[in-house]
Amino acid sequence: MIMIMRFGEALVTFLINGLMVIVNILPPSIAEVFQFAFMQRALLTSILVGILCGVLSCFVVLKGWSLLGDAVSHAVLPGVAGAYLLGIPFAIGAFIAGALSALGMGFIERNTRIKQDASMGIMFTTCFALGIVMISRIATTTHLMHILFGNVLGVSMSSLILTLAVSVAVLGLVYFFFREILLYIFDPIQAAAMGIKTSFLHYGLMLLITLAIVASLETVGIILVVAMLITPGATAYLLVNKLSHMVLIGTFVGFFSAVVGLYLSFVYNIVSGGAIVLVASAIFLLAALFAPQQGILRNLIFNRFQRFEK
Amino acid sequence: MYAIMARSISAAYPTSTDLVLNRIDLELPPGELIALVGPNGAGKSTLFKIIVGQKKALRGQLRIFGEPTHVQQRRGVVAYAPQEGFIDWDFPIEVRDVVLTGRYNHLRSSVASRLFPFAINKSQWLVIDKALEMVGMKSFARKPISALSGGQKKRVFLARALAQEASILLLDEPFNGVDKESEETIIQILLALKERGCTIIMASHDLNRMREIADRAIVLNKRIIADGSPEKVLDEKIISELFQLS
Repeated sequence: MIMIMRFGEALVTFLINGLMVIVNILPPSIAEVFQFAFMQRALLTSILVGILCGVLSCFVVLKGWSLLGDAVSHAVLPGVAGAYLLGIPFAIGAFIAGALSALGMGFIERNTRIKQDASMGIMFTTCFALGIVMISRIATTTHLMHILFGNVLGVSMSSLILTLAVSVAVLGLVYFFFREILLYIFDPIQAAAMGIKTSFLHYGLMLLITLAIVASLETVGIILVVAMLITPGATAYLLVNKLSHMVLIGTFVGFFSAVVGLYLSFVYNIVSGGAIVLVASAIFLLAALFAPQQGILRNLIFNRFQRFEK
Repeated sequence: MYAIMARSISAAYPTSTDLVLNRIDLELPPGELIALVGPNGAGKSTLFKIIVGQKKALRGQLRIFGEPTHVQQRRGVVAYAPQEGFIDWDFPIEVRDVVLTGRYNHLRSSVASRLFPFAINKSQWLVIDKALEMVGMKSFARKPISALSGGQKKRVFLARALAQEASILLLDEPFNGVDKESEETIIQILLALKERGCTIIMASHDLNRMREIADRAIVLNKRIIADGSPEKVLDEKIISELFQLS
């Protein structure tokens, strides 16, 4: 365990040094913000979370799982409170609670006549209520605020290592199973015909999303992580017609909004999670207006022309 | 040996106790073109899902070339062309990548394609190009599927089945929303595949078409109502009664 932490620390230091080489190329007014050690840790965490959520958000958008991310992120709360009570790392409690709720929702949907939106609604409000009740008994409000809205500037080395580990694992799995995930989302029956274990992929994807939420807890908090699991993918969906390109753009949008949001939050002294999400939303708005094929502006002009031709 | 043999297959939706399929028995030899006819909700798509292996039967036994489905699945023996409503046509995928999904069983055997999932071998693209050429869609290879017409969509999924080199072909409503030219292309290819020993099952409402091209017709309404030559089984009177009942 100690060995793993040492290795993780060394890796984190290495990555931060690498990042700083790039940062120091930037104009001094921007670079000086990132000279503090806590800002460097925050930068690396934000980038990892931005990339991680950016990749997964593409699958979330295509699978129609936007509500699932919402549900799991809220359901994580009692796990965090429980972990606090037991004195184990937040992440473990959060992961267990998130995974259980994801499986529970699938179970309710498959085995009762309740439809998906209602089963998610019941599940996540119940868990969230339970979490709030638990927290109101045990912890001070500052803890609650940090869990709900994140506190990336106070990110600890151990949670940074965790975020790094989760990122590597999720990105690796997505890379090696990209073809299978694509076919499962696009045409599940053909996926079965090709001998792909579809229920394995279904729950596997849910678990990856849960992992991403757990890793994002401290950066954007459990409420705003939902935005990072939808907006980058939705933006990319408007721009391209190929899943691999969509994932690349989603990744970039996640990365870009994390970095810019973090910078703005420091300069203007605003909450970092909110700043990151607002940057992502702004990019989405631009894409929705100006996308070359799906954009609102293009459609307006196109329709005008058609009327003119008549 | 039968291409598909079903013994007393029953199936139900998870949230309901009513059977969608009730004791289905099938013995389908290779090289037959079979019409599967029945009203909406008769269990045609469910039967397809069971043959493909996406859905488990409650009871009964299914053998594909004498083996259980999970053994045949990995070899990609069964190809499936979905009905239009089953596919999200806004999905970001190009035509040739749709056809590529029929080659997954061929890709899986190589270690290189496991390690580098985005590097597709030239020989694979050749197979895909050939399949697209056969259905007359080669010039659309790099187009997104959202740009296709109804008939073109069907042809692309037929190309996927061709690229898969499957011995059993399941087609769900292959002639729905299809223009005359596409329909002719599709029929020509199906007849050629049949000659090569492919077993083809078409779920369709187009009774006239089925009477023309099918060797055998099976009327399904949760259980098998009739099974035999199309002229006999697809009798207007029987069918119209059946469809009114539903």
